[in-house]
Amino acid sequence: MAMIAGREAWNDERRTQSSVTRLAGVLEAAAFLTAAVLGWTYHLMAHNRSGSRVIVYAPLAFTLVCLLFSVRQLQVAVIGRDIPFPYAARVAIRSILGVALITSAFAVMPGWASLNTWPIGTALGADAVLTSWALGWQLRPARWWPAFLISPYHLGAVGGLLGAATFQHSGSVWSTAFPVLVTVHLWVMIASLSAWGLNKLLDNEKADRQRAYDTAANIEHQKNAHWLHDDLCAQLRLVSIQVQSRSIELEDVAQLLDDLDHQIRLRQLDAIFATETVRVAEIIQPWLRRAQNNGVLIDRVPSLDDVSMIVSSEVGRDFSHAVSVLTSNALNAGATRISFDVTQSDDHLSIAITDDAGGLTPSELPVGRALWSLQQDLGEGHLVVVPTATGTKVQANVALTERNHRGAIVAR
Amino acid sequence: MAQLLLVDDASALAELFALAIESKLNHQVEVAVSLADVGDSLKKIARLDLAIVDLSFPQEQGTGLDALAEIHLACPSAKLAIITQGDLWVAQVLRDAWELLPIATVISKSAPLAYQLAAIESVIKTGSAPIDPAVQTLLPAKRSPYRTLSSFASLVHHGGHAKLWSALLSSNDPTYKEIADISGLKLNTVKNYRAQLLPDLVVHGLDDPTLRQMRDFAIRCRPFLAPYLDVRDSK
Repeated sequence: MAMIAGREAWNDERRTQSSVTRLAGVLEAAAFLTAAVLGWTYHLMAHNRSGSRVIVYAPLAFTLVCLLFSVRQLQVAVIGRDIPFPYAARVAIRSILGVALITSAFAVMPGWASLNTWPIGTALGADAVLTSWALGWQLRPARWWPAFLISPYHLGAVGGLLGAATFQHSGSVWSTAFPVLVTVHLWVMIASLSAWGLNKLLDNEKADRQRAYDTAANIEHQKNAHWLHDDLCAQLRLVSIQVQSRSIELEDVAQLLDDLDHQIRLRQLDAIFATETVRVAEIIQPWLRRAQNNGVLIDRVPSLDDVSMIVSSEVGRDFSHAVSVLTSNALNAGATRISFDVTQSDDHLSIAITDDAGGLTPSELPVGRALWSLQQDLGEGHLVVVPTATGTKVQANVALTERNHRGAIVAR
Repeated sequence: MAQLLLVDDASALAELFALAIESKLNHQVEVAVSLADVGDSLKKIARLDLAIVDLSFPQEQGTGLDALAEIHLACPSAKLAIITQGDLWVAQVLRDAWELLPIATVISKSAPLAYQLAAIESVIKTGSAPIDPAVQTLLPAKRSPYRTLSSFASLVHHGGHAKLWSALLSSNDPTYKEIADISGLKLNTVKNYRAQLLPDLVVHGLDDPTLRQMRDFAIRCRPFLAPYLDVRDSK
């Protein structure tokens, strides 16, 4: 029943499909199309067949079923989506289509001509591996044919066939039913072979992926080890030497350690940027801590509801640069109170920092300095400076353009 | 003089922080440096006023959520506070703790010492303190009224659901086949049980979760889910 329900019944994870999964989907679709083409080829060439209504409509029914299976598989393989059906409906629909496929196939290509339906074996094998991968089931295709051979279905069919041949004393049983039995054996063997090949390809792909992951992990470990040694240890050594030489006050030691803490936060943020997406909450955190460690009172910060958006790393880096410049600007100006506000529109992700460090106007931005550079980067009108009663509110609007916007997602 | 319990695996830092609390605030502090020590530490304290718990215990199986749940169960009147780095690693655990337990405040580990001590004193005197701004961005503005400890009861309607959750908890890479093998349920039964639980999981922020996401949720919230699994399993 689980296999009849098909892959999509078990595929809860909408993850990107691997190339082998796509290949299996395309192979299944191609196999059904090939079966339909072979069916029509045989039908058009076999002129001497009796023209009963069943025989006339059988190719149409066979083609329709093959197309339904094929188009659905292509849709899943290419687009990665399927029409949502409940489990029971999937089982019922696929069962009906399966019966229709088998009966119409043997009606179109009766007797030994049914061997032309071999592509159905390939389609069955591909469908079975796709479903088993979604289920997490380790298939053993080499055992399929022996298992089929001793299964009650097969033994019953063979027994019935022998009984009919013995008691009817008629050759028609052999000429009609025996080819069907042979064809079913052919399907099982081809399905086993297809499934074995696809399983092998998946194993190879997994091994390649694991090797690539191991290499990337090794490089990352080496980078981290180097950073720990080169940057972190050097900074700690600096503090240590200054303390040993009594050339530094305790307050300055605390300041140096706070700076180190900030560097570690930025390093952590860099590691998050190395993934494809980042949550806005993660971006502003190091700057909140930096302001806090500088003895600044933080009046207002956005809650998770305001900063739960997940943006591309590219947007994240631009946004982080803006937060960095605005926070540093407020701290350098001598702010004692700071507020952080984050807003989002269709086109922009905005950070506004309000301080109590006196007034500032856009015309006063020193050319070449960080705030001026940020204004140039953001573009005309996207760095808004508003004087307040005690200081300044500076808002930076980071563009969510097609170039750098991969979709701001509001997480829970 | 209030009696405090500090649970943090960074033992040197925890001892130093405990000394600072004792000397500057004049309170008595018991330190537990592993989750397994929490029970013994609770026995040493006559009347616990405040427990300050770290969330990350990378060398152990659980998280600070386990310790918070254990303390809350043993001493319901004790105030609970969290001290954390407050990064992405613990963000979800922090949110779970904040929404499910009466957390009085959240303190950032990298906040200035004076700020941390002020927050602790405020909790002891007034019952609460503002959340550290550096951690505020990881928490929603309001607690969901629907996400409570009792809401876990609706995640285990019957013994079958208990089997499903138990299998998820013991699975490394949950697939339908593995869950069916571990639980002894049929494949489509696993699927049906998962489908039955989906509406109740929305309260916990899980919208049509995969088996893997359900497993992660179950592991994170094990202390709140486990009591219902034991009861249902025994029926």
